[in-house]
Amino acid sequence: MNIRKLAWRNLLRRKSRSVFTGLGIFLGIATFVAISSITSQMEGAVQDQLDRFGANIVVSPRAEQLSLGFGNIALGGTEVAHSRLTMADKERIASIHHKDRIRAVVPFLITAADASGKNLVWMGLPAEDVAGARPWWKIKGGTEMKRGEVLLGAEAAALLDKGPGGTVTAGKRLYRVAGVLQPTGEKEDGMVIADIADVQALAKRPGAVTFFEVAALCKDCPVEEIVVQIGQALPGARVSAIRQVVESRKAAVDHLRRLGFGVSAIVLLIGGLMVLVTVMGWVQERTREIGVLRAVGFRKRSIFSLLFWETGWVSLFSSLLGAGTGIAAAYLASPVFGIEHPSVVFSPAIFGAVAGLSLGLIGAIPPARRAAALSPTEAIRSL
Amino acid sequence: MEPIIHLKDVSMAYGCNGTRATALAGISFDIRQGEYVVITGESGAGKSTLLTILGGLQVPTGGVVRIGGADLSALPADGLADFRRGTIGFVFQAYNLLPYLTARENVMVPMSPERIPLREKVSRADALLASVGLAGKEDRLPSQLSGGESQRVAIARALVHDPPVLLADEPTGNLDSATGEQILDLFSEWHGRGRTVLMVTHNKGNLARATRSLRLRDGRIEEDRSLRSFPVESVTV
Repeated sequence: MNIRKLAWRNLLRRKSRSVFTGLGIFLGIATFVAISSITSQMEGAVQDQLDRFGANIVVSPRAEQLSLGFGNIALGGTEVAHSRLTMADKERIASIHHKDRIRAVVPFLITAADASGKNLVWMGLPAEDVAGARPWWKIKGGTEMKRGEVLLGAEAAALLDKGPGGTVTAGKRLYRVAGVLQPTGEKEDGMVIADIADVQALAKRPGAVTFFEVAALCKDCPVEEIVVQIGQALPGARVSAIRQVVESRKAAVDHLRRLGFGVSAIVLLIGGLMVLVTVMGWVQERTREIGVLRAVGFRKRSIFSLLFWETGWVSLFSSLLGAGTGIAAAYLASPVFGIEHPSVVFSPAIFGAVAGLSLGLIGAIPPARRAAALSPTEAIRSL
Repeated sequence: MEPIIHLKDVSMAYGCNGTRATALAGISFDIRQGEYVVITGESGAGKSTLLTILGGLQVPTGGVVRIGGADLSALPADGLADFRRGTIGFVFQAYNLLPYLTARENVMVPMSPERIPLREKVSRADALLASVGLAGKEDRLPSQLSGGESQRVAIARALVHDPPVLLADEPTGNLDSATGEQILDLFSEWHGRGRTVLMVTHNKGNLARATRSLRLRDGRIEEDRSLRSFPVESVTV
């Protein structure tokens, strides 16, 4: 017989009360682990979905703004690029150290050219990348564009009076209109969009690229590092992160995380209070027993230790059970929260088990102190 | 020879909200090692208060209490706990066994905070239970024991550290006379080994076994009577 065993025997004797005490921690930890696990998986899912909405890094040639004038007469300015980007630069971007974080590198060529007798801006990008680079485009007509085909912005289509299935002539070549974009409010409304190879041929600039859009997978986003690495790979290029995109993604994920932590904290707090109230009740009920223990020579520390062991056993089992239940609940509930590939996340469970044990022990401190401070006289009166 | 228990002008008053009740009013006496003292008196005379002070369960509001050379007023809370564990054995009227522990485990409870090998604890508890006539009933719960058997377990628990002083508060109060006699035999046997016994009782029959009687009245010693001589043996405190 030692204090650990004494505590254990007492718990077995008061099974329903022990279960009730553990229930608070069990529910708290199960909720915490389930929410944390789901949140953690949702962060990945949300991030993944956000990453699908376009690029977060733009690579363009480094350029200088030159102002032109003669005497006192200002003739405006012009931009002089120090270097040009080419299709070969795509490989350089894709070979940086953080290449595993790069989801897509999409080259764009912008040029002005004739389209069925109208001078319009042509935007070229790989036909197969249209859906990935501009997922928000709603296209009337065909959903896919192939080489030899074009998409027309809403204004361009109106100007040319063309629709899906029509044709556009440019540089003695005929392009079939694969679809018409619904108005986006952006510049592409007035553009003709075609495969980049077609636009390069039309502009007589084979391999030329105006800029690259890079979509980096940004969970725990090392976007600044990626920017630096691309800059090192392309010394003549200006690489800039689209901060708004990066920050809004971070903000969305942070909101989700905060919500999860907030709910978990409240549930854990309630669990802790339940332990405190229940163990306080134990002490009240066991004044007589504490009196006996004090009379036979238990020190205050021994009484404190006894209460701690009792709560420790309850907290340990409840936490482990809660963590296990939380993992199972998160796994089963994942599809409800749009997580396509549910996985078992152990870190919240480990943290939850430790937190539950700590919470139980912390919740037991006030009643244990009270029990230890109970004067033997006060306790002995009930003997 | 220095007395094992020395009380001088010990007083105890309880009070709250301006009211004050005196339980003990300046009691002084010495008890030598090996005495068997019966404390009698009417209800409210201060018998139980005296016993709790002697047991180090409460500190008097005035006076000096020395037991086995230790000044109880000067001991801190943990010091008093150690004193109780090493010097005093308590036996209560209501047995006060822990209901969820077996007889053996109840006897082992005072040893719980100590780093004693389990085998030794068990062997000590079993030997004590055998000495009070409970061999073979070590694994019974208090609910499976009679009143007399429960009190025997309580006595075994009180003796587990071989204390030089045994304090008993109406130990036969809940027992029939035959069983009460058996319990008193155990006290006499313990006393016969040179230990000091102080017993609060209403039962005049207990006087036959005692060497001295103290009668309290209104917190004072009304009568201090020597009943018979007693053998003095050396007991280490």
